[in-house]
Amino acid sequence: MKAFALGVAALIGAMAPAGLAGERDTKVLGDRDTVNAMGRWIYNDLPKGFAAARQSGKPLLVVLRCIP
Amino acid sequence: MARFVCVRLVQANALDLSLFQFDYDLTFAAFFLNADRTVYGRFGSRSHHEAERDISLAGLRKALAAALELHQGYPANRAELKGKQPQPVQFKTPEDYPSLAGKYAPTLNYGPNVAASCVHCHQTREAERLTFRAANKPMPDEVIFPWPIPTVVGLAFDPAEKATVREVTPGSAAAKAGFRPGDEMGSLEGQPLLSIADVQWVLHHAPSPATLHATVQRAGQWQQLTLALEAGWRRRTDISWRATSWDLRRMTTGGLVLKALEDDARRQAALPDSALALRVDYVGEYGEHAAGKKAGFRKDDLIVEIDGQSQRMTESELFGYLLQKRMPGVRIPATVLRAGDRVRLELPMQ
Repeated sequence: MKAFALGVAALIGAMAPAGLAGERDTKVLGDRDTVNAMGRWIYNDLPKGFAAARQSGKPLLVVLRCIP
Repeated sequence: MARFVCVRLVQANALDLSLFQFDYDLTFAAFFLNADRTVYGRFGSRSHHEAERDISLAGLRKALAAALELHQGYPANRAELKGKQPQPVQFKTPEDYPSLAGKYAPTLNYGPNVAASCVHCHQTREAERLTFRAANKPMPDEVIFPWPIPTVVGLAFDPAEKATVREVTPGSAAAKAGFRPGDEMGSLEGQPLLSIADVQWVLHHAPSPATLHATVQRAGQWQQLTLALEAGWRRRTDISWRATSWDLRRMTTGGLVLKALEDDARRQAALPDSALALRVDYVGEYGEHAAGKKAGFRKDDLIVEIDGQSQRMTESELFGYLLQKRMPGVRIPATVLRAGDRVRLELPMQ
């Protein structure tokens, strides 16, 4: 449960209102680095996700997140 | 989550709208899918400026577990999932809409201005609305009031559950149907429900008027309830919190943000409960959002008549009226109360 909560919280995170353009850029870049570092997520690559689901037989969880 | 292939999309650039149909005003949404693109369910709801008020990790966890159950039962359960599948679309991606065409690349530009290269999900809804406005066509109710929050039919759900009723509004359609707090809604129109978003999916596609069939579990027993929705039912939905309503204000109020007058203030102004009373809370300053200001409207003006309408309505209902009755280029008369005087102005439609 803890791992689930931490994983999802990180994904939902950064819900602060949009700030200046530079801050938004930093958030977008930081999100990619943070999520990729978690290792579990396929980032911005839906075809790769479908291919992995076909190969593994697992369902897909696709999260759509507006960062800035 | 280890039992899922997890994909994170942070852009609507080239988003496949023939698959990803959800409330585009959300900043967080999730889909549970089979590899053959069958939709098991959706997650993510919002009814307020606070983005996280209507969702919870506990609710997401239960939706994930229910999605796994559907996956284990697939494809034998394909028939019950039919109603959850995406509807045909006119434009395959956001960039295919005329107002967005040629403005964005299909992928983000991960340089110093990455945010500017991103198509936001809400731009999809705005682009859809512009196709009507640019053609001088009235917008359908479902385009103005998308993804109705279930409170519009009298149902408030517990965000920590899949689709468990927390409150039933007295006198509402839900109350008349016999819903009670604590009811666990298992299906709506035959569709298994993983989340409040799944309830909204059914409402989003429901006609007007509508008769919707639900199954609920109450005290361990399953019951069938029938929800009867009158014509125009979705027009009571509050859309003022939506990012996409910003562009509706440009179109209809020239950038004015309007708030319904509180009951106490209404009494002080000697206005009856049935009378129109929308206070100008904000006046736009730039571009077409300054049209209201240029027309002479001021902050704290109280609109008591507009286009001959003087009955009580919310800002959202006013959007609906104007978007269906008045096309760009016309100017409509309005009367405001300002420091005790009645002032007549004209509001340009855009």
